[in-house]
Amino acid sequence: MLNLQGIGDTTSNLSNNIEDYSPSKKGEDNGQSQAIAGFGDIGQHNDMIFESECLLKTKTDRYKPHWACITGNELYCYRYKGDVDHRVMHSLVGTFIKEIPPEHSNSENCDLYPVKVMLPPNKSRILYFKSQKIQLEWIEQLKSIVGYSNLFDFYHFEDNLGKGQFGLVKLASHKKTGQKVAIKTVHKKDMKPIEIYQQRREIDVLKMSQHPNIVGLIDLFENSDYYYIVLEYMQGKDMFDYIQIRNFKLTEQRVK
Amino acid sequence: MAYQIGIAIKYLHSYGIVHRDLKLENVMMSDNTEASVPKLVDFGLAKMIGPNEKADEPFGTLGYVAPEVLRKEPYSFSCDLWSYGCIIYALLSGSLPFDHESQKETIRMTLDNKLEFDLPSWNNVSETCKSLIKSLLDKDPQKRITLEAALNHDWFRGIDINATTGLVQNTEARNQFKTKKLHLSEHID
Repeated sequence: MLNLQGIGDTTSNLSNNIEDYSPSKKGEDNGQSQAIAGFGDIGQHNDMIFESECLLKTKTDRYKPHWACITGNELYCYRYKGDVDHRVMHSLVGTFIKEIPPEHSNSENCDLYPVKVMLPPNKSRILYFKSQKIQLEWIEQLKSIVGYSNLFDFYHFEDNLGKGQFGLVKLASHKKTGQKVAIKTVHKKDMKPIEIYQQRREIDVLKMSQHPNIVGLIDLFENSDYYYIVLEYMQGKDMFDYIQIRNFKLTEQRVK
Repeated sequence: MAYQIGIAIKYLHSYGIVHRDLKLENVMMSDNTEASVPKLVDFGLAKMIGPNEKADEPFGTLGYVAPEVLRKEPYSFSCDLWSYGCIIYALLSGSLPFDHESQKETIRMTLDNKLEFDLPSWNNVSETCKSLIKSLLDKDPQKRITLEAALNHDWFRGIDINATTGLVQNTEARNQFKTKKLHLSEHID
C-alpha cells in the first residue's frame, strides 16, 4: 500500500530554504503555566526592560557599536544609548535563540560573543557582546521572553516505538508525574517546505481535536531543527496488528 | 470499534477537517484487550475545508482511497466515508474490498469492480452490516451515505458511547444481561 504521490497544494507561499518557526513555549509547574506549549501569549513580560551595549556586523564585515534594548516582547537596537530612533527592531515572538562560537574582531581587537536570534521564516539577527558574561545574560533574558524550555528537562526518553516519515517515535515519561507519553520527533532539515506546511497542519488538527477516539496532544516543543510532538501513549499497536493477532476473526459485535 | 471510529470522523468533519488517509494502520488501539479503544492518529494529510469547498489533491492510500479521488475529481468530506467503509470491510474479513498486488489493478478495481462479499467469513455477517458497507462503498460520492445516516444505521442500533472514556456500551446487550440476571435471581429465590 503506497501513498499516492503528488502534492497539489499551491496555497503555500513558502520559499525554498524556509524554515517555519513558532515559539516552543512550555508551561511550567509554578502556577503561571500553560497546559500546552505554543498556545500561550507572551505578554507577561510587558514591563521588562533589559539593555546593554552590543555590536552589530555591517555589510562590510565590520563590528559597529550599538545599544540593544528589550522592551516587552521586542528587541530594539539604537546607534547609541539615549538615541531616539532605533536602527533595528524585531518582535521576539516565535523566534529561537542560539549561542554561537566567539568571533575575533580586529577593529575592536578582542573576542566577541554572539547571540543569534533566528527570525521566522528564514532570517536571523546576530548581536555581538564584549564579554561572555553579558552574552549569557542576554541568552537568559531572550530565552525567558520567547518562552524557551527544554524538552529534556521535562521528559525522560525510553524505547523507540516506531518510525515516522521524518524521524522516530519514542516512548518517554514525564519526570515529575511519571506519565507515559509517545514523542514524535520530526526532523525539519529533511523536509521540503510543503512537507513542513503539512506538518504544521497536522499539529493544528491535533491542537483542535479533543476527543476520546482521537489521539491526544499533550505537549509541543520546537527548535530550529526539530518538532517534538508529545502525544498520548497507547499500549496497543495499530488496528491492523490488532486484528492480525486475532487471526482476522473478530465478531461482528466487536467490530461494531 | 467501527462506531467509535465513526464518531471520531464525525468530530473531525464538524470542525471542517477531512482526514484523507483513514486506514487500519492509522487507527491505534489503546491496549491489547477486548475492551481496547480505537483512536485516530496521523493527520499528516488532513486538510481543513469549508462545507461547500472541494479539495483536489490526489492524497490517500491505495486500497482505501475513494474513486472520485482516483479520478482526480474535486472531492469533499465523503472521501473519508469510502475509507471508513473499507475499514469496516477489512475488520470483518481481513482483506480490503478492492485490492491487488499491482497498483494499477487496485486502481482499476476501485473504479470499476462491483463490491463483492465473496470470502467465506462473510457468511456469518448480517445483511444489515453488508447494507451499511454497500452504502458507504458507493462509487458515486453524491449517492454515498452521509456520516450522519451511517451512524444512525440499523447496524449500530443499541450502541451507546461514553463521551468521556470513549468506551462502548451496548445497551441492548446490557439489557439482555440484566434480564438474564433477573431470571437467575428468580431461580435462587
